[in-house]
Amino acid sequence: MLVVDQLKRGDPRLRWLAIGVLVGMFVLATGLWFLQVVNNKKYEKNLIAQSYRSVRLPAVRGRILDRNGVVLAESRPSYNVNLYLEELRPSFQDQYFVLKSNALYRIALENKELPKEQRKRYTSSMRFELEAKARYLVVRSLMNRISRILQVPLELSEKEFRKHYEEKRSLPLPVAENLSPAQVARFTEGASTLPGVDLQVQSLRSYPLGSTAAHILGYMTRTERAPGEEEEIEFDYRLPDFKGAVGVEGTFDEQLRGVAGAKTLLVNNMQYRQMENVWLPPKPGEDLFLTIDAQIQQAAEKSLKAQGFIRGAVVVMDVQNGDVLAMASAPTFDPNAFVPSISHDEYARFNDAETKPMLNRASFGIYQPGSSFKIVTALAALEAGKLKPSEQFYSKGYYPLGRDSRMKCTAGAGFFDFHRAFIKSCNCYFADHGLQMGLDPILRMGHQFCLGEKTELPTRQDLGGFFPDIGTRRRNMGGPWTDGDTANLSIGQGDIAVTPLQMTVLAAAIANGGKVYWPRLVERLESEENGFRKVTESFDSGRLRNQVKVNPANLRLVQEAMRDDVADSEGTGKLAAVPGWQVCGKTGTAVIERRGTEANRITWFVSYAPFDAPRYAVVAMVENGSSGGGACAPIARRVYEALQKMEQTSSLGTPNLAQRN
Amino acid sequence: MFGQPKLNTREPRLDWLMVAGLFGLMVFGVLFIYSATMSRESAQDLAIWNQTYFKQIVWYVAGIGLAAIVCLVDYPILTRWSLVLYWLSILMLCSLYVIGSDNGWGAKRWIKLPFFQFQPSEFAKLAFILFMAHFLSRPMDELRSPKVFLKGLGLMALPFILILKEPDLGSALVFFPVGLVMMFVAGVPVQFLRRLIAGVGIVVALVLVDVLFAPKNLQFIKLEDYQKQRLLVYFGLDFAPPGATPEEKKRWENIQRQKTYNIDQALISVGSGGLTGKGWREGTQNALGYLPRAVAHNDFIFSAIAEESGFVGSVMVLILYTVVLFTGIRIASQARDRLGKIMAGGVVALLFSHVFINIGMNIRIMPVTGIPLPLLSYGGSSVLCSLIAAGLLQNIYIHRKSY
Repeated sequence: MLVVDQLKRGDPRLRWLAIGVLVGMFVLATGLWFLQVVNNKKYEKNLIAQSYRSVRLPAVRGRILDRNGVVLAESRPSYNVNLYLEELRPSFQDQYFVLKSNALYRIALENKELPKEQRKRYTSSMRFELEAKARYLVVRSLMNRISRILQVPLELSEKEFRKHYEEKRSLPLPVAENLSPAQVARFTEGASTLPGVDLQVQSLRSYPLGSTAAHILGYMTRTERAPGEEEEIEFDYRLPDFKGAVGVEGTFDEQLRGVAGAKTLLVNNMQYRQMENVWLPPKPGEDLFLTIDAQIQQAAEKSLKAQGFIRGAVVVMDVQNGDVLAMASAPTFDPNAFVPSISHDEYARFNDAETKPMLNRASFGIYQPGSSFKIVTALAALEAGKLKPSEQFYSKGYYPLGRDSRMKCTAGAGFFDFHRAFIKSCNCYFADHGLQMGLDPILRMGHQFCLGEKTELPTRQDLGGFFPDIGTRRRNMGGPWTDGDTANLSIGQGDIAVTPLQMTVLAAAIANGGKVYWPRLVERLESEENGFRKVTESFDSGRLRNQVKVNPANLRLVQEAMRDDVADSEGTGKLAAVPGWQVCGKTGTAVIERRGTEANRITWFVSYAPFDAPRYAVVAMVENGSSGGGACAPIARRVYEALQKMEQTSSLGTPNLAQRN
Repeated sequence: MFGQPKLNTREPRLDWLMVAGLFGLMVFGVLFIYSATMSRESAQDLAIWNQTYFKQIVWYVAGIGLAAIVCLVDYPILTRWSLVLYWLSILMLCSLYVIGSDNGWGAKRWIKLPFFQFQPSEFAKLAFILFMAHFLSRPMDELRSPKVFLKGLGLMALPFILILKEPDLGSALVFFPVGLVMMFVAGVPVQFLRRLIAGVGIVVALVLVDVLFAPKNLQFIKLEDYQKQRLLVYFGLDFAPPGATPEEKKRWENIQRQKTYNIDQALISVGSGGLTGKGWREGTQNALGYLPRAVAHNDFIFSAIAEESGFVGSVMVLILYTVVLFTGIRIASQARDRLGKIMAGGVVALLFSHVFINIGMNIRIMPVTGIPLPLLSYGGSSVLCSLIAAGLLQNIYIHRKSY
């Protein structure tokens, strides 16, 4: 063999030469083995680090629909204009040469007058500066042309451009966002031949019904990193994405968001994009079905607005299973305003300290229930045996509390039995009976309705309010508990705070024979894969939270009293009456005094209907209303009218919604 | 004096194994010069006669032609002219100071001719081998005299110094192993060579210490900045002098990153190739421009080959060179006289030095020097020189029997 022959050859010096060559080749081969085989992974990693960039691709967000499939939130395509810098490189070059020749000419002119040693030279820092300037000039002139085509002013400061160029060169530069259809048409006609310019479709959140159910839905905020998202991939770049802030958008953000995908950009030594490859397509988010009925929701919102009130809330619930059919809060906001980004003015308006439009008053506002609490007081007194319905009680028109304090009563002086006291909402009657039975029976009854406890509404706006513990001997605001406090609590004032949603659960429990349900707002989540829809998570309807232990006869007495509060001509809630249905209700007006003057007046109407076959609980609450009967009963009436209309027109208009689930 | 060579028709006229090795290398060369240059969009629009790979083919053809011409004349006749060739090459090296054209970094290495740039240092290597072989083929007794030895060293030192002054340290340094091997093969006493190697070793060590570690006022040897930086890169030392302010340090770090860029990228290219490579024209290092395009097809062509053909391809290249070098040694052993043996030894040493220094540079066991890889690197002078050298070997082979 060639090699072996040479090593054996006679001439010893040539043999040494052969050995030397062989050793040299062996050294090279060993070095190559170490580089290419042993350390291959390390160099591959270096290669990937320097020439690949991973980009996070946000998934299309799932829709939010009402119980009938009406879309409340969806993702719509939004058209953006992007500049692809790598395609502009020839233009950058050309522009640079123009700038360079100008600069050289200027330097030559200046040098003419300078002595030899002071003459300027074209330095590399001048070159970098001119190159950067050339790039900006090219981009700006392109933007001006796009601006004329789209007929909108487009601004891009040199600083912003340089930042993008330095940090995200391989990503397209966003120039104009959210084009109108007319602009899209003008762009495709006029700008599609411009170099490096292209339309890009981005999915944006949209709420087709505007502010409908805004407080339930919540809103979106801009983010680049989804909170809590476990990142297996360390992304180099993230495309703009949104996350849900409050409402179901916030609580179910993870399910709605889907799973972000990833693509890889191959970049060259100048960091320009060379190729791209989507290796993990994003997985779209799941669709979320609410228990809300959009029609009733809109009716509730409209009735609240029709009354002309600034602040208030309406909740509509299916009494047989606790499904929330509508939950309105006023004032409201349009979640569309947050997409793609909210203006400062609008943000300030949405966060007005006085009106707080972003606050869901139905579940996140806590108020004294006023006379509407008399439902609980009445039941407690009946159960305690301290209240004989037919017994007459004489009211002086006020109730003395201690030496120089008295409780006002709008029912006037005279004789009251239970029925008349309830429908005329006589404070003296209920304060007296409250004092007769003492504090604990009232608290026990209140706790059976889960007052003071959160309803676990998945909107991130859920408060439990306040209700004293059994055996309490001190006021929440401080000081020892007095009989005056017990009298006050009997008429729903003082140491008590509830949300309209809690009162709706209470009204539903009165209607359905004492079943306190967990309110349900979200029905199910569905995903779609290859055209097949699949329920990924469903939430039980009619989850019983507590069964109120109460004598059915006593409950019947309260139910009848509530019916007559609306039906009787003397009743405080008579404005809630609707033809065809016997509405049962209780008004309430809590006067909040601060330093002896009336600071706020929380008015209520807590109701359900129809009397004989209860289906709906409706609670209306208005801040600064005239009275429960005057301000809130008409709101409830409008909601009931809408419910009646829905039952008549809807093909699914079953008498009992509960059967559907 | 010398009659016409009597060719024995039963013996092969050419060493076909070497020809096959050379041919294999040329195929590799064309393929990977194509791969390294065609990724450039600007290159794709060029006419075929302006394509780098096509020009390389032209050089191959021209080189084979020149090699054939070299083969026609019996090598003792060639060596008769070696004195003239040697001094002609010295003259050309001197003339570089006057008419040499700049490579852009202040080094004058080329003479511009109407069709191509000619690199006299390549020519000088061949002339040196011829003349040195002629010089050393004197009777063995004379080789034992120190005077002859020193004279030989002088012959080596003259082109060495002239090329070093261009400056082109890499090409200059090649003269040392070539001269050494020729003296060794010629039979110069080993103790002379040992002393020479020891002496040179000490001088090189002193120079390195002086250049790399001595404070500025004690640096007696003035290397060009880039040469010093290459050495710093090779020994993995910081550019910043000790006691530099943080600002200066940052500036030096920046420069260092630029200077180590080529070799870092070459390592990534070679290392990421893996066992079987990414496939022809599939390498990203070169296509994306990380491996600088100015060098990807010449000094760093081996990185491109190693990236795209992997360890398997790299070793194939090594095997092809080994075939050429060992057939060269075989020719040396079969040569009809000491002149042929010494000359063949010199050519083998020349090719081997180039291969080892260039590939070694690509895998960072050698410092970065502008030494081309014979036949694979793009470049007229280098290709012509390599093929003429191979022609010399064939010449010795062809005329081995004509006593």
